[in-house]
Amino acid sequence: MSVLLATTACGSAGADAASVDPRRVGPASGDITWYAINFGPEGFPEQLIAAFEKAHPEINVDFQPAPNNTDTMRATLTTEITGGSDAIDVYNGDLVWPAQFGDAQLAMPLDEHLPDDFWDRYPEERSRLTEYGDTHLAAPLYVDSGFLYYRKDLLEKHDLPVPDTWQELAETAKLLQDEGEVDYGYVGQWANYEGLTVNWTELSAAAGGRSVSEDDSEAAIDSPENREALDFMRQLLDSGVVPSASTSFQEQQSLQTFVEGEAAFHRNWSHGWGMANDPLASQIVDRVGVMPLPGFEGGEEVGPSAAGGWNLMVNPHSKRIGASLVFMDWMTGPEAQRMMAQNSVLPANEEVLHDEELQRENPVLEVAADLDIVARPAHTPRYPQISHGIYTNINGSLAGSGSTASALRAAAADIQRALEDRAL
Amino acid sequence: MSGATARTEPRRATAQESDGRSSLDRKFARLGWGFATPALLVVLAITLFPIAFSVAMSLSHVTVSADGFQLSGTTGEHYELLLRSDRWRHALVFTVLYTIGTVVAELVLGTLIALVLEQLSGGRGWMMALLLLPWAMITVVSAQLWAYMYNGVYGVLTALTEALTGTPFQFLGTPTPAVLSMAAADVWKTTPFVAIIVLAGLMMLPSDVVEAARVDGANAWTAFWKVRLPLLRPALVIAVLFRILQAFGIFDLPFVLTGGGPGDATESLALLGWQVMFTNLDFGPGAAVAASTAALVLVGCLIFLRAFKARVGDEETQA
Repeated sequence: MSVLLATTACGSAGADAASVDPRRVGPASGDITWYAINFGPEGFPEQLIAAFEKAHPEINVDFQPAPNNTDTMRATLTTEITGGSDAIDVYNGDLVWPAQFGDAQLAMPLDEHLPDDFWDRYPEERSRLTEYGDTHLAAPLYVDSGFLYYRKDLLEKHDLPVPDTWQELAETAKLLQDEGEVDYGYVGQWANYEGLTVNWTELSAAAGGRSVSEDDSEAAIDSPENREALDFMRQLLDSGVVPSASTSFQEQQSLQTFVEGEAAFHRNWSHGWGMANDPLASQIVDRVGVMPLPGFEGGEEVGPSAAGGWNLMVNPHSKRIGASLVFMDWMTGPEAQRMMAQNSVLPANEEVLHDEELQRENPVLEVAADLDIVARPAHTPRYPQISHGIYTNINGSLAGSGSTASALRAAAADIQRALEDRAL
Repeated sequence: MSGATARTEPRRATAQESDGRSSLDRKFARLGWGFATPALLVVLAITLFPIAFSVAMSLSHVTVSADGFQLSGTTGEHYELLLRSDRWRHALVFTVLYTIGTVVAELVLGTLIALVLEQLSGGRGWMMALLLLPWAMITVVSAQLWAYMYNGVYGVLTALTEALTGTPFQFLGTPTPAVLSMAAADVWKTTPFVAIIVLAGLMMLPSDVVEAARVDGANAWTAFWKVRLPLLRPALVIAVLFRILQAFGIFDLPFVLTGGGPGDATESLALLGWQVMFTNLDFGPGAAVAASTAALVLVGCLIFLRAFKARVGDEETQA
């Protein structure tokens, strides 16, 4: 609502020097195009649009589905927006995009158009992840985090507790493997791609490490904590707890292995819950538990989960910025966010995320509300190169092409080059 | 493509009028060019302009803003960045070795298949249709199928190796097997293409030459090595040239199968260029990767053509 007020205020306050030029904002009505990768259950974006158009009959939203691959979507957006196209008004942008998109001017800075209290609807650290320079470039639409899924039935059968640490997880997993219950103990996303940076960030943070220094100025990946974390990952592979095929596993392959009942523990985003309990896709319906990721021996009890999810961003060439902002406001407001929570999409809105009634309906939501969140080092436009430096070297080391020490040294060099803008 | 029509037009006129170029002749030539102009303009706009733009981009300071690209000043810094980058060098070495390896394998297998097809009397049409299936399939789709077969937990090939040896073989998990597995998928897909071109070459061979060789006492083996293979050279050159061009630009297989991994074991120049340009949004260096890749493959093809065309010419004059 506040945006609507802000935009209509802009329209009438021509004399006010601080207000936005209404020609640039455009009217808060008309047709807008929303470009996004499908999310939630089948047809969910269309349901959201129907509800929005009911609340705002003066605006029509056309949903344009994006290819289901973050990098391909980024390539499309870059081509469209740098080419000056206004075919897309508002789009879903990955959590790690704001710095890069801000730097390349692919997203419209929002602060001059949105009231300060707009950001109160989000947890503070989540809202900070949408900033680059001194301005917000994106409004969180839905969030995601890493969860640990486990075979509830097997733990009960063998009278085993849920593991508090990764080390306990490895022991429990080994035990279940030795008993012949499962082929593998644990599967995550260890392939050569962004997902490994996510998995690495979680494990490294649990062990007390980080990949880039807090002020984003230096590589910090070559540390004793990280050596411990990478050694631990390699041990999981060596002992057969993690299948050696893991070094080519992304979300889909690892989840597939888990829902087929071949692994005892599994790290994935929130959609793992729905799929594990889908009778059409899963062999382990109702035999799955969900919990926060474990801590590391000698560290915190609960391990941090990587922040994921998608934001709404506005094309700077849009002729309908006013309408786009109204859409943004509604989509991140209570009604839309409640719809998301009811459809297994984790809401970004703090109030909805902590709604106890909704939490009772969806156990993932309950776990999500209290997670300890760790962010990937995406505050710099050079994040893609930093992440590349992390995932290729870690993946190479896991695949056996280098020792822990040499992989982290190489990663540190790559990250440093990226930070100094000398990386390819 | 359309340039060819323009060129044949005046030539036919010359054949009719052997006594120099008449005004009618020139008129025909102009008419021909006139007809071809729209098509040439399209080629210019969609092929030459983007290439020229990307070369210009690779040599300029590029700033990206909401108003599009701005190129300013001339600089060699993007190429300097490439030459100093381990990542680029690695991608170059991988791409060159991968191209040589797969093209040689495809050439040998394709020629063998063509020789078998040539001997078939019935069912050749069906065999060719079957063979063409892999080639006709979109690479992204077939790569996805290979990814299922290679999958380390539920892949059928992994299960097969487990049944045979007791331990599941990891096709994509470690560097060397990943490169070989990817090459196998490539060979599977493009061998039929080579086979068909070679088969066409075989069908065109004059049968009397082989017969003459037989009469002179050459056995099948000698007749193949000394007579048919040299005559086949033009077809082989075409097949190899096409394959070098495609293999050097390999993108879809590593994109789907390995994402360039494990580590950077299967990162090709095209995949690297795409990542630099569209993931890192570094347009100058990305254009430099693209332009240098194009230049390298062009030079490679010219050297190859020069080396083999000369010999093709020799064979023809001898025959």
